[in-house]
Amino acid sequence: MKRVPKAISPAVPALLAALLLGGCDTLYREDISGRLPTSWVRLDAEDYPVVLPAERGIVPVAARTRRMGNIFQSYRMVLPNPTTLAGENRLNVDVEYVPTSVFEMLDQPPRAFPIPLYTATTLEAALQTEFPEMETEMAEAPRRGRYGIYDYAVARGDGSATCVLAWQLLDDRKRVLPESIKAIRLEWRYCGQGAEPLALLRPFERLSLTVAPDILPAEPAVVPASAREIPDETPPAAPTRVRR
Amino acid sequence: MTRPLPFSLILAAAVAVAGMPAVAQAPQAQAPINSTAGGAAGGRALAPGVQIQLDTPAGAAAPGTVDETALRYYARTGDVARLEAEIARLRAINPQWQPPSDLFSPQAPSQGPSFDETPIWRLMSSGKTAEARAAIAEERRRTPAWQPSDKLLHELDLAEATGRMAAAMGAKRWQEVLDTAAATPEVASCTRLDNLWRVAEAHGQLKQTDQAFDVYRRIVTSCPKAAERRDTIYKAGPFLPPERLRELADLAATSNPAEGEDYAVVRRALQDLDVGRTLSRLGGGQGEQPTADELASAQAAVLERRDAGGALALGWHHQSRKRHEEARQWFSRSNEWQPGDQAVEGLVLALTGLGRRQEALEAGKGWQGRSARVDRALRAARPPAAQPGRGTAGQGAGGWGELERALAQRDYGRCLQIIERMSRGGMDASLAQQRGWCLMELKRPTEAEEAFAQAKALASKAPAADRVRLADSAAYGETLARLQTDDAEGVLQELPNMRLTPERERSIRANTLATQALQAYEEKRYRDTLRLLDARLAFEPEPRGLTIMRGWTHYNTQRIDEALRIFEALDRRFSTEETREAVGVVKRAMYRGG
Repeated sequence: MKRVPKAISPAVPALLAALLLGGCDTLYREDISGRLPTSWVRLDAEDYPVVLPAERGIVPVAARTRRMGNIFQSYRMVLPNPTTLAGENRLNVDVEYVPTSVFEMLDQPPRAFPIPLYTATTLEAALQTEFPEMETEMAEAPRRGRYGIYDYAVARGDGSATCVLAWQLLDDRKRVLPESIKAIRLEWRYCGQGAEPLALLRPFERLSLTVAPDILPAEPAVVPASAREIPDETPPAAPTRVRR
Repeated sequence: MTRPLPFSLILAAAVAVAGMPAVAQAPQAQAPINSTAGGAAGGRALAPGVQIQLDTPAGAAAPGTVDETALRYYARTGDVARLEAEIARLRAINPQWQPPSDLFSPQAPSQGPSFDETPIWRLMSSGKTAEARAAIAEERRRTPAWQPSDKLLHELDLAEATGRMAAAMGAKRWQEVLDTAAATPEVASCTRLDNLWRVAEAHGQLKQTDQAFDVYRRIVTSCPKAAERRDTIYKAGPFLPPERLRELADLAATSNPAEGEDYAVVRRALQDLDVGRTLSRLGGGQGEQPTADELASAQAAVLERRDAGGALALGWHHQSRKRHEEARQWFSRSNEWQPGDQAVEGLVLALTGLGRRQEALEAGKGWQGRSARVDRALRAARPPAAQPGRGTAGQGAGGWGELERALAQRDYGRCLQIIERMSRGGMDASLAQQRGWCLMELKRPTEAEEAFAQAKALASKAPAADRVRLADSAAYGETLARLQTDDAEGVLQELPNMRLTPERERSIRANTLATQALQAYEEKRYRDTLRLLDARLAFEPEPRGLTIMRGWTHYNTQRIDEALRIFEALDRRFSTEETREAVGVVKRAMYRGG
């Protein structure tokens, strides 16, 4: 004989729904950890995301990393600061990976870095935060490093110290980036005693990224004429004033 | 002949925030419905301190002449500001029209179509505009002859525009805020004051100061409520230069005054902003310094309000100019009004500057070993011979004496220079540790951690009497540096094996709990946030920033009353843009729930 299932009391689903949705939050809690950054984790030297040019003698003080879901990984590498100015010298590396599943593609965490990297307003605010009480100027012409064109600003104080803030978006997936990486944001903040901006930028221009083994230097042929014309060893072009 | 208004709205002075329409409901803030003794039609207490009295009109206009759907909805939800605006609008359409006498009656019949639109209005006012649209479509599918009221459709358009503006604002897409307002001009009006503020702020953020000023001027000359004008002055503060702010305040205090409104609050708001700006300039130590008049005005305001934070700012202002006696007085006042290690640090340094070292050491005694900043100040106060662990290389010019002076002046860059010179003859544990503290002050915690680790290693070479103390202080500094580099998890793991004095362990535990509470808040684990904040209270009093987080945690868990209590208490102690904004947001949520 075929068994007929007993009818479920209408109170049961109502009770379940009430328990799940009616404020009984010990049964159900939305997990948003994949959309928030993890805590920072300290890195050993062999896990640093870049290799700095040895001839410049900059030995990183420490580095740490954190992830946001499977899409973003950020690195903060603190560099020595030979000046007496406030604030840490550092290199930020933010990597955006290509999603590996439809679910990841549809449920991406918020961007770890903005694009465009800076606007006039956000740059002014960033320079004011990074270099309080210093004269800051954005360079009119970009420069070129191992991975292509980048922009920068220069800060000068009352003393002999000079600082630079350089930023670069690597999104050339035809040549530079492997297919697993969608984009990389680099930010270099460096203050040096009595140094010319160019000397402070040189390690940034020559660093090698190691977040993936097959990241390639930019093709020299793709350099825009405006940047190619900048002689490698001359001081940077006259900057335009951002803030007095 | 002018007829007296048959309908009068009597608002108590406490209705400072009856500005905006509902966006979300706060169920526990339901206001009770009361009857007043005198009125036949009754009055209704919308919220504590808010009351509407309704005189029964002699003859109401015939139904159907105007659409009263929205009016009845606002009456039901207790949205005073919009109710007033709707009455004015309907009067403009039909001067003979009188508000219905049964406006606040729970049994008031729906006007117009047989379908009751209330559920759709409710969806819309709780921000569910898409659901409201879907409900309209569903009802039309069921009853093809039914048409939603024009007012409902219009309000829905405005609610959607408001939602777009709020979203654009949250994402800092300032131009989109302006574009949305331009496409739906009616969305920015006195009855939707938040939107007008959004438009003005978007102009301000885009550095369009003239346009921002125009919008703020429009508000203060056309929106009659004094509280709204006052809040507009506060809102304009960050975006307008002082002279234009003053012009705005003049307009706000004099333009189109409404009966019963006290515009003196506008003047007081301007004074608050002036004092706040002066104190913030003193605190920041950057840019143009305040004039003597501004300083005098700030000092008077700080004295009047017994504002401990303001007294601190004034203390540091005088201390950095070597006016040690004035500095001492302000630090003493600050410590009297609200005892804290920052005030004591200043007091120790000011007394040291006056050459009253013994008094300085006495003043810092209570915080010794409990506060890194006071310990540091005490090191500057100690006579040179009392400095522990120093080598003879550091004596004299360019040695500890100069280092103490640099520390007393809070010149941490020079501190690094002096230590660099002193350590050429060899670094010792005291110097390495002092370098760590100066790096911490310069917001270079990663290098500071290295310096403290070096100090810890060098402590083993210090004289036996100082060895343990130096190693323990270095370990404490190292831990604080790690906390500043977001390594709370690592610190917590190692805490049981650390050799810390009980006071320092309490300080570290308080720091780690604060970090964990912040993380919990970001992950929307509000119950955990409160649990961690409460646990932290066992170790240290709660700093202002964490109390603000506590308030928002209550707000996010719908404990609106508690959130308001916290924000108002903070605002009474020291009013900032943040506390004023918080009080406003919570009050609006409270009234929306009515």
